[in-house]
Amino acid sequence: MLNVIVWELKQRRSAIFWWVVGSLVMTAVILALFPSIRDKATEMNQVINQLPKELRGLKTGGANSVDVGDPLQFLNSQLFYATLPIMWIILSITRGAGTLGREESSHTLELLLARPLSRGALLVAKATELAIELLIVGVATFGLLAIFGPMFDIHVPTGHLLFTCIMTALFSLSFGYLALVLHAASRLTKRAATAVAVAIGFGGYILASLSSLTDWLKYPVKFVPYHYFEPLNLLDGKLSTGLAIYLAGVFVLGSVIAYMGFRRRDIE
Amino acid sequence: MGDTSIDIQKLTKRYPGSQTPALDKLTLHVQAGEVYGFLGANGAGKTTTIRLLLNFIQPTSGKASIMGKDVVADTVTVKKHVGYLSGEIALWPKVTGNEMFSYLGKLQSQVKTDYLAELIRRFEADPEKPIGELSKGNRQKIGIIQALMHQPDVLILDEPTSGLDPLMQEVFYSCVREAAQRGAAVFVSSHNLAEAQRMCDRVGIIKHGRLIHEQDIKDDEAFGVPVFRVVLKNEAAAKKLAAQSVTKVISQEGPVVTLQPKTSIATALKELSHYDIAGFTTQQLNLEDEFLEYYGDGA
Repeated sequence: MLNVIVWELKQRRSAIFWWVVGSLVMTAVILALFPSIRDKATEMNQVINQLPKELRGLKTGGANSVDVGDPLQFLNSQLFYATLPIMWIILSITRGAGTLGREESSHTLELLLARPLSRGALLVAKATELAIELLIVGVATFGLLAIFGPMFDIHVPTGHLLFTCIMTALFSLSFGYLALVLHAASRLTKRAATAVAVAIGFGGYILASLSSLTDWLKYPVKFVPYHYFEPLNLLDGKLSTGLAIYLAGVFVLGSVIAYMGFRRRDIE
Repeated sequence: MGDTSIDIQKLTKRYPGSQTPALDKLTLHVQAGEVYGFLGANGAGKTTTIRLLLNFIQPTSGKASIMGKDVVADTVTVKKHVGYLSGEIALWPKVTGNEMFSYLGKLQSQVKTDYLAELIRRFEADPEKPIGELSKGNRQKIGIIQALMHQPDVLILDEPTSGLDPLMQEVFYSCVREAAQRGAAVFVSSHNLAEAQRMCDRVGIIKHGRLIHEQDIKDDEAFGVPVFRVVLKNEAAAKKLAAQSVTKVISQEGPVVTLQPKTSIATALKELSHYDIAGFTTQQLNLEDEFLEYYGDGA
C-alpha cells in the first residue's frame, strides 16, 4: 500500500508543486491587499453592504454584513470561505474522480490488480494519496500565512491558523473523496462522478452563500455541506458540530460504501 | 507435468443486460509445466475467461482456482503466483520501463533482478525511455517482461506476441518453454494457430462462450497421421466414400473428400483402392484444420 502512495506522489510531484505555488500566490496577493483594504475599511464595508442581497452573501462569506478591516473577518470573507476552498475543491475533485477513474479507463488498473494487492488496500492507498496532496497545499498555505501574516498586520494564533488551514483542506478533500467513492462504488464514469461532486460542492457554495438572504432556502440549505463550513469559527479555534458530523460522515460512510462497492464490482 | 495449477469448474459469466452468457459453464484444467492454448474467434469468451481468472470481473456462477486457491475469495494469495499480460497492453506512458519494473516488483514482493536483467537483454528492450515514446512492439516487450520477471508459477497471457517481430517471437517462445520446464503452468489465448501449435502442449477451442474441443498438440493420433485429400469422379462417389467407416472423414465438398486413416495408412489405402480416384494428395493435419473444423461455416 505504501508503495502505491509513494508511486502516486512521485508521479504527481510536478502537479502538486504547481498547486502549492498557485495557492501561495493567491494567498500572498490577498494578504498584501489587507493593509490598503483596512485603511479604507469603512468605504469598503459600505460598498459591500450596499450590494444587492443576492451578491452580498458571496462577498461576506455567507454573512449579512462584514467588516473587512478586522483581520479575522478579512481572512474569512476573502480567503477561507471561497478563494482557497474553491481552488482546493477543483484539485480535490479532479484528483478524486481521476485517481481510480483514469487508471480504469486506461486499463493500467489491471496492472495493479494483477499483483497481490487487495482492492481495499488500493482504495485506501489512492484515498490517502489524495488526502496527502490536499494536506500539502493546506500546510504550505499555513506556512505562508504564519510567516507573512504578521508582516501585513494579520495576527492570528498559530494553532488556530493551522487548524483552519487543515480543516479547509479536509473540507475541500471531502468533495474529491465523494467523487472517488462514487466512481469506486458505482462504476459512475470519471466525468459523471466529477459532475455530481461539483454540483454538491459549488452548488452548495452558492446556496449556502445566499441562504441567509432568502427565507425559502432556510431548510434546504441544511442538506448542503457548505452550510456547515464556517471559517470564522475555525479561525477562532472552534469546530462546529455540523462540520464535524459532515466530515466524519463523508469519510467514514464513504469509505464503507466505496469498499463494499469496489471490492466486488467488475472492472471495465 | 505435475499438479493442477489452474482449475476451472463450470465457470459462467453473464454481463448485465445480455441475453446470452459470455462464458457458459467452462470447465478446464491446466497442469503445472503445461502450456495450454486457448483459441477462439473474437468475442468467443477468451478474454472474459482471463479476466475472471484475474478477478477483474465476478463470475455469475461456477468457480476457478489457481494453485489450489479460489480466484475470488483468495485473490491476493492467487496473485502472488501469477504473471499476467493483457491483450491490449496498457502501461503508464510517462514512466520508463525500469521505473515500472521497480514499482510492480515492489508490489509483487518478489523482485528477481538477475532474471529481469536477463529478460531485458534477451528481448533487447529499452527500459530507459518513457514507455509512451516506445513503438507498439517495444511496449509489448515491456509488457511481456513485467509478466515474466518474477518467475511466477502461473502465466496468464492474452495475445502475447501481438506486435512482436519474428525474432522476438522466438525469444518469447523460448521464455515460455523455460517457464514450463521450471514447472509453471502457462495459459495463453491466441488467434495465431501456427503459434499455438508450436508453443502449446494442449489447446482448447472456445466458441460462443463454450469449450467445444480440447486437443493434445503432441497427440500423434491427431497430428502424426497424414490427411488424404481425395478427388473422386463425381459427388455420388464422394458421398459413398464419406459414408464408410474405415477412415475418419474430416470433410466432403462436392467430389472432394478429406479424410484421415483411423487404424493404419495401409487399411485406409486399401479402402480407397475400391474407388475410381481422379486426384490424390497427402498432408499433415494442422491446428488450423482442427480450428476450421469447429469454426467453419455452420460449425
